[in-house]
Amino acid sequence: MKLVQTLVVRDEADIVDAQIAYHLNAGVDFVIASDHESLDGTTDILESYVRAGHLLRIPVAGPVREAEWRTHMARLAATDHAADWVINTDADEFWIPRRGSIKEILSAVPQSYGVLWALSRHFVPRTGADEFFADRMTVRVSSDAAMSDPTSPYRPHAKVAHRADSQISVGHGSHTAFSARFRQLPNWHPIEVFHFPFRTQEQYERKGARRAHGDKPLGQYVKAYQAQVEGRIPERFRSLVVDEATLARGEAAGLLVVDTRLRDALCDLRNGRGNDRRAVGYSQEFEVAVAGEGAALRDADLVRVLRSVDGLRARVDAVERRGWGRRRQSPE
Amino acid sequence: MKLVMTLTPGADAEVLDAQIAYHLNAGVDLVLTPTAASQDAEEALERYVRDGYVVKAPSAGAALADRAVGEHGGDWVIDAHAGEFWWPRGEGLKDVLIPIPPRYTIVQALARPFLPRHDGSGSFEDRMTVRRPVEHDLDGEEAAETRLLRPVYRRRPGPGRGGQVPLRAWYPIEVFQFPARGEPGVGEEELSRGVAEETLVVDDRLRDSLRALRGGQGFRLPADGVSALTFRSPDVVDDAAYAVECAAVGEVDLLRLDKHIRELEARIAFLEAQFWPRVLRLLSRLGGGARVRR
Repeated sequence: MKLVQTLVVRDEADIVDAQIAYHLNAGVDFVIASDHESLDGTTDILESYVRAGHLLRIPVAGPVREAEWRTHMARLAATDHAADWVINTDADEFWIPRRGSIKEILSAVPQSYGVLWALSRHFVPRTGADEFFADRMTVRVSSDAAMSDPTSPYRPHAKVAHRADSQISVGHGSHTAFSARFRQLPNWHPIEVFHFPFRTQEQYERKGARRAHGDKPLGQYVKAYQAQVEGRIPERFRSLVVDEATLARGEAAGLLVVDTRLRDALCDLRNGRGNDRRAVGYSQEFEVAVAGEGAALRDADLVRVLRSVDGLRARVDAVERRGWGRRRQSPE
Repeated sequence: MKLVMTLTPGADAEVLDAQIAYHLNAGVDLVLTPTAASQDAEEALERYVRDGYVVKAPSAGAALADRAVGEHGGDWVIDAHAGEFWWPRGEGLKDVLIPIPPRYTIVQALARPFLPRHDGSGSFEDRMTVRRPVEHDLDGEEAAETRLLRPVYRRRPGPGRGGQVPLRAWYPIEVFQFPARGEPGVGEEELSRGVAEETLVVDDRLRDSLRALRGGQGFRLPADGVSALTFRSPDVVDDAAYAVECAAVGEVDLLRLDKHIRELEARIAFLEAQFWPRVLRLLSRLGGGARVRR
């Protein structure tokens, strides 16, 4: 089985090397990366993997066209790289299987199914910006109630993996994929995506300011941009950092969890031990927490759908007000 | 961004004074109010009217909100009632409203009805530090959101605008509602039992803020645009706990989604049914007109 990873990246030199090395050691055979005008050394890191034969770098420029770039790479995996499965990633995401390896899980998927979702687990910023992110950021949010705040970086979501398909379409953020050939497995999440959206104050400011003007300016980025304009980035970033007291409170309430799986895996890689840790399954308590977070994801998706329906209702309102709906308001 | 509050004043001058001073420090730029309910309240408003913070308008209800946008250029409008204090879950009311994606024209605020304490001494805010958590405030009531959710309106473009799009399932502002004086209160024993059983919550955020605002010459106001209050952004633990309360409001579920979709289908079906008859009528009118011209 050949597993190809796609990646959209811009200026993530602090994390992208670890991300690619981790996935190549976790079973990924080849990486296709869209490099969007990186200036911070990311391009050099990508080129080192190109020279080693592990990666295809596609330079992209101009306004962000995420869905288009992701779809192009996913199709390329099918047409030019003989992929069987494709995982679609960001530079701040690490795909961690709950049992066995990524390939073993994907191999177990029945042939008629071809699209599944990995559950995102959001890690919170911690103090100590000089340390490697994975050594510091070992605390994640764990809640079975969806945070549907449009300005929160911790909204529940999932990332898509799919069988190779030359006609596949992958949506913005790779949260969705549409395939005419394969059925979807929406409620089984055998893989987790460890997500490290904000790591240092400098990275928070840079990412927020840039993406507040992107093709999908999410509230969390607008908030960072707003703080930058008002000269309040340090205060705003500090409000995101989880200190020891907050951690203790969060653990007691069951809302924060210490999770060192990625730290340990990357430590092994740095010490030349390879990524031979195999996930062997977890406690009942852990599995129940995953089920709870899966339920929160479905609740969050329901909220997203209802918000979209609200948008459609508003558009129908507008059409009715133009005259088409007059009889509806005063039926004959 | 200009934030305007329309306020129906109550009869209690002390509460009204605190309400206006608090909201000006929380980010409100201008308060529009109809005539106050008592002479004392009128006197409490005088200082703010004189300083240009309060404008008295001969309107009420929706007309007052229209004025807030039309005459006073409000980008967002809060419609507050007597005894309400709108508390931002961020560093100020503007701070939570600015990053709301533009497609939402209404942000909803979660009402927090407070219970008076039995002890009648002290200022009103000292006696208002106890409330129920949302799940214990529902009493199995259906459609509780109509009671628990209060809208904040965004100014929308003019003619041809569509309907309102509320931000559902997340409420970035809490509305602390204080009952009128004289209502029976919660005693110490009941409070201890309620806190232990998690049916009552001690919430002293507003009390502390109003204490911070109280000065020798009345409540302090923002100086040179700088608030005399500091609001703290909730941390991730606060937000995760708040998510449980937002879910308890029960605004979003499959049945409601199904109802909304069915209603939308019926409206679209009606519009579709109107389309060709209208086109044919239009064509026939055009044809008739052409004959007349000939």
